[in-house]
Amino acid sequence: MLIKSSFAALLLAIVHAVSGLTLLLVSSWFIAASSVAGLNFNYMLPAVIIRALALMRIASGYGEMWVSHHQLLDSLANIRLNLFNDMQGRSSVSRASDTDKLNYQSEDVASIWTGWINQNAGALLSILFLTIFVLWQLIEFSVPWFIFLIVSLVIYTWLIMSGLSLAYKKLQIRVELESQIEHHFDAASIWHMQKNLQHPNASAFYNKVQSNHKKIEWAISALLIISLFTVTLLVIKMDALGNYSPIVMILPMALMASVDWFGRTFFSHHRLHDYILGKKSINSEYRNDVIIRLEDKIDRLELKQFKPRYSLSKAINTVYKTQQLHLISGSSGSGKSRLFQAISGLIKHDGKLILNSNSGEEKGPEKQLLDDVLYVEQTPYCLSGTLRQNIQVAQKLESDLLIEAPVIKDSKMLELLNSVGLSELSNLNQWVGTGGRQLSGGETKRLGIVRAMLSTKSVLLLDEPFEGLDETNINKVVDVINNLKQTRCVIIASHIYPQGLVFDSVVDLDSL
Amino acid sequence: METEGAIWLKQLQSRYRYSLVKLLMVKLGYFIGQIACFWYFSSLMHNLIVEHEGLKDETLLSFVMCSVVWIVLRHISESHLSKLNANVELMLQHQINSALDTQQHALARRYSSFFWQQVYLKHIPSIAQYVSQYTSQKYISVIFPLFVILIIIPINWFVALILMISLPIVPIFMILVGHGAAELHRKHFISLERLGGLFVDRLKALTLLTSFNQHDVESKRLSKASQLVNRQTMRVVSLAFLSSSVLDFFATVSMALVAVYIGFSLLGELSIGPDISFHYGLYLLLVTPLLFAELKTLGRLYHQKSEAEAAVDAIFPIINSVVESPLFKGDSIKGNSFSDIGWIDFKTSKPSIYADKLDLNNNDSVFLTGNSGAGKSVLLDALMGLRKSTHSLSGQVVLISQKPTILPTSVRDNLLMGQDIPDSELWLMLEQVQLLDKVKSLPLGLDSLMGENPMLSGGEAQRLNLARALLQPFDILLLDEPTAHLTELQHNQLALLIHELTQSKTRIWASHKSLPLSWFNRNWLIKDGLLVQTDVQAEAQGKQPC
Repeated sequence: MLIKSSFAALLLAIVHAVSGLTLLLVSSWFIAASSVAGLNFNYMLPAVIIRALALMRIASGYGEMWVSHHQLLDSLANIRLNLFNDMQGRSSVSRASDTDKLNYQSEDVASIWTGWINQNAGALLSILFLTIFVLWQLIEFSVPWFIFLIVSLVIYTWLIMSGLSLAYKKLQIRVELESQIEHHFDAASIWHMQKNLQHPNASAFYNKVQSNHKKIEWAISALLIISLFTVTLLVIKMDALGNYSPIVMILPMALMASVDWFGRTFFSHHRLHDYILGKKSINSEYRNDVIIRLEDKIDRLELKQFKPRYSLSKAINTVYKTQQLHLISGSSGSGKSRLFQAISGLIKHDGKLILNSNSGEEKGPEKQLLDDVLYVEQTPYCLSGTLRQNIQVAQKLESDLLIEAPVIKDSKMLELLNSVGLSELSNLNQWVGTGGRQLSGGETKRLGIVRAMLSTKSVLLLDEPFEGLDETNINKVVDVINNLKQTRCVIIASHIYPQGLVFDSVVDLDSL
Repeated sequence: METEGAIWLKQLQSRYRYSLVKLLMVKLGYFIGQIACFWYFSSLMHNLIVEHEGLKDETLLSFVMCSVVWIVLRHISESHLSKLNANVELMLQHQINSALDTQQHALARRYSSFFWQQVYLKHIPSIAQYVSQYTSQKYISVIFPLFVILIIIPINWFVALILMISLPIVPIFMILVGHGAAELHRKHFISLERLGGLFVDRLKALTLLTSFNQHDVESKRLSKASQLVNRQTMRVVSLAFLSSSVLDFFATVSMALVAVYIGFSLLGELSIGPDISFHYGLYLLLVTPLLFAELKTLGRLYHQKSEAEAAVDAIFPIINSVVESPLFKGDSIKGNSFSDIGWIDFKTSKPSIYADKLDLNNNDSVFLTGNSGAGKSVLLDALMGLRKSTHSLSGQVVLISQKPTILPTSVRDNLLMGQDIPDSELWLMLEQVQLLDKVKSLPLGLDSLMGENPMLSGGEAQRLNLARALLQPFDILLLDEPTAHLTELQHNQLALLIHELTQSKTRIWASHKSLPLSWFNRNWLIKDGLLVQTDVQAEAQGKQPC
């Protein structure tokens, strides 16, 4: 389907380009022929052809835009869906610059047909047809024509090749500048101490963009020079040969308009470059890892010399059982989040993690997700969607068909929201997150708790559940946690320990 | 109604009026060269094909000369454009950077670092392109067609008349179609925005989706959403495409009609308008497409307009936020040392904090309290002169903020901040902040690079931050909840350390964690936009602040 529409768009683009040029050439030949016509000149046929070409060009122009845009959108949706599926089991792409990159790179890859192939096919085929025409009808003018042909193709190829290395350099500068800007602004709070403070300077990047423009303009000028030079040669040759027939008109006319039908492609090559770089980066960075989910129900977790891989913190030895409440304390930066991610299997670990009984199954050090463990992030993510979707995300799927199936009753959802002090969120159909009502930090925190309550997972890892909450809401969350502890194993990572919680064990990451 | 941002953009354009006019003149020059080139080309063809007269040397020479003018001026105009573009970019970058100079972190932390990346890499170039390329093209697409009609009139008034009548129809159609498409887009705007952003949103949600094993469900949702978005988008663009089709239609039809009209006139089948020769006819055929070419280019550049509008929305608040100097800046100029202050009617704006009286003497130790969000950081920014307020402190002020900042450079560079301090002093300071063993244990000591993820705990990072601040020459030390992200134990240890190292200095310490009152001689409390000062002894005796 996608391939079909790609080729339909290509065909229409070619018709559009070729009919446009042919219209100009036939028109000029027609008026030349008319002005020297004898009595038996059949003028009706060319007049009809001219009108037909005009209609063809207009129709194919609209058709091409429509079909190619359709194809672009479909292929973009396809690429993004594949990309998303490839990333199953990964942790979030949290840096905005990275999601932005995926966003525009998928667009770059999808628009190769519309942006480059279609336009260039039209121009190159026009050149080919003209060459065939020269060989067939105007063989005595083939020398000037081939001079033009070779020089213009050299310009064309040079622009593509040198543009590619320029685009690569531009990308490097861009990446460097991005990280430089990020570091610079992350350090804003100590700017006032810096002697000779230098803010980012993007001139190198602007220069590279400009030098690409300059390159294109040089190519256009070169094309104009060779075209007009060839026109001069052709005129001299016509005179020398004494060949004054109207059909000869066609070559100089095509050359006079060469910037329109051929030079235009020069502005499209950056699409090819973006496609090549985008494709490369998408392929290299986002390969699919095989993810194994361990489906076991868990009532006991034993950590032996356990720590996240590449972490410099000390290893942990402890046992977590169901109906217990544990604390991992530590200041921010002490590695609480990474420890939780390692336990749930989102990142790799060193040491041992043993499930259930003492001699039970051991989780492999590679990425094996424990299905029965829920990691609630420090800043739980609020999906761009309805509030209901945001809660339903926690429901266990019985089969794989349930986008709409309402398993959790609305009244239950509202009750849970109420229990964590989120009664202000009463409209389950309200759109929240990007494009809707933005939840505050404290609200998303409690949304995360609601999801944890709804889930059927036996082990809950709550990352900083109290940060940013006022006293009333801390107390509500404390009650909820004490409730959860009745049936499950709850592990909290926090630098705040409110009253009302009794811990079965405390691990202090600061003092290890 | 015009927004302030739109007015600013207009002013920006008028600053470059001279360059734009120069650009237009050069462009007009190359356009004239091109048209003259067409004229001599037609003449050459006429001589050869119709008159069979052979080549006239002077015509050929004129053709070559005009070609050279065309090519050279065209190239000059493009490099002018390039230069203008670069100038605007550098000027905007300079404005942004001076806003950052005056407001520093008070401005910087208002936005994410991604936002700032976009400012430099996207918004500045967008505005520059708009000011240089789009603006000049806008004028050209009006001037050039009129110019073309002007030179057609003496050659064939009939063709000129027809074109003159049809030309205004093009923009009218484009505007009508554009409005229709915009209307349709507005109708679908919310769903296009929401569903269109779903891909990025779900990428950010991957951890959540993995935790709940919901990847497949969301994958289906994504697929459905993009089908819906694509259907709606197609509906909008089907209409929007009409606008460029209108142009294509007129450009194509006028060429076909001109060709048929000229052909039939030459054949004698048609006798409307003045007599025509092949020379004139070919010239008209070549010149007619130019009537629409510039409008087409403008259509291709149209996206620059909306990009620039988005960029102005982002950049204008930054450039517009430049802080005027406060009315009272201590009693001396910045750079001079601090002297005691007694301010009356102190006020910051947006958000507003007011104090009818505010005193600070040398060697005072102030405990600044208030709920989170009450405006403690706002007050500290204002005192540093980074925010609009009636007063700001004189002398050297150093701030230690909530989140420690560790540069990815070496430990030494992290401490020096561009100063010249001997290593022995650095080691001494590291010993004072209890980081001596830690830094000694690093493989390269002071030269160890901290990198993207420094191997420091939260407390250690904040101690390094403290060492850096104490190495700077300063008169007043501001502390903005330096222990906020630490555990109770770490908070106690670090607070004590800070106190011991800074008790002889003038300091203002914001915290909503408890600190011993004996450390302070003044207490500033912010509540509901009011700053109330009490001295600590009075409060210790249980009196209400007044």
